[in-house]
Amino acid sequence: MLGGELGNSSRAVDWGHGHVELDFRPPTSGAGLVGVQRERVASYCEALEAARGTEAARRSLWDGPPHGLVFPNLFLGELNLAIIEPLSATAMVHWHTAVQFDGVDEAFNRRILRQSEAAMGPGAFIVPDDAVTAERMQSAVAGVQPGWATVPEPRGWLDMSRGLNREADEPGGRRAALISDETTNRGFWRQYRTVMSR
Amino acid sequence: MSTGAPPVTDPALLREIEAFVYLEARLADTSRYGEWEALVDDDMTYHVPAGPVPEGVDPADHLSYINDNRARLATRIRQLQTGKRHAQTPVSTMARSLSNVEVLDAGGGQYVVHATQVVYELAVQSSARLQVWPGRVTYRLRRSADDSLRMAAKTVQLVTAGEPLPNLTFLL
Repeated sequence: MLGGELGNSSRAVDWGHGHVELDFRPPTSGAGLVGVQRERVASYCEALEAARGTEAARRSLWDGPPHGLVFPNLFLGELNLAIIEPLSATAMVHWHTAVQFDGVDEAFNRRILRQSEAAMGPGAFIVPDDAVTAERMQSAVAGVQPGWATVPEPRGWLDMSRGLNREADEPGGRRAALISDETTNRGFWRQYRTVMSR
Repeated sequence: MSTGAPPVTDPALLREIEAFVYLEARLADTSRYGEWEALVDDDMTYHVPAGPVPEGVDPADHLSYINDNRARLATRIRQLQTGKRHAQTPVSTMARSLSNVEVLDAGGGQYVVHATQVVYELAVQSSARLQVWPGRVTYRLRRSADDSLRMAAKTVQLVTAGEPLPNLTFLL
């Protein structure tokens, strides 16, 4: 992890009932919700401050970006909406679209589209890496080791214990640990098991 | 891509353009990113629409799979060159077949070229499945100061655009 995991104050949060979040506060890049510095989207920032007040606008714009999963299949990330459509026990489709605003200039909405293309979809810079990770996890669950793996174990394996030792209870039933910990995966799958074994 | 003119038939020009797009295809197939980027002009756009783009519609107002200006294309190549992108580590094994090469327009100092391609990709970094990527390719080529060809635009209209797709983090 860039800067080392202890140098990052962002957190992985399990809100309970399978709802999980990567809480990026305090923001380190300064890019926040809109993905760029304030001066490039100044008119939108000013309009939001006028409408909602300085403090509420600051939280909306810069405390983040938002990145949470509402159990079981709604993902809200930056200005994207995504849903997960299960096809079978071993396959899913990750559908997404970008938020577009009424009453803003065309350049602002176009910026959101370009930001979404950078993050989401099969040719983007972020989600394809997540997708490969998910496919590898699926292989591990199936007990299959990918052909390129060099470790000697004959079968795949999956370890979701990272950060278990430093996960802490918080008010409201939340559990949280470092953003690099598997708190979110544990929270999701714990609820999945609960629901599916009813 | 619309053009009313008949396709260019000058054999020497056709041969030169075919050689260029075949080279481009081979460098993409073998993930030789630096050599591929050397074929690219300073204002290149690289576009993979997420569905059919009707005539007169500006792709800037829609989500595409890829809609790179030159700066973002440079970022894409730099990231791939790190060798640390999970989605292409290790790089996909690929071979593509390029055919139906036509020069549709040679006006205004540039060539509009159309081809069809099928990319066969083995996603060795994850599922090890063979993925097939058929599509129609439109290139806009122009001459650089030393008279060699450069790519000013490449658009790949995938036959499967709009359907759920696996990763396409290689150069299409």
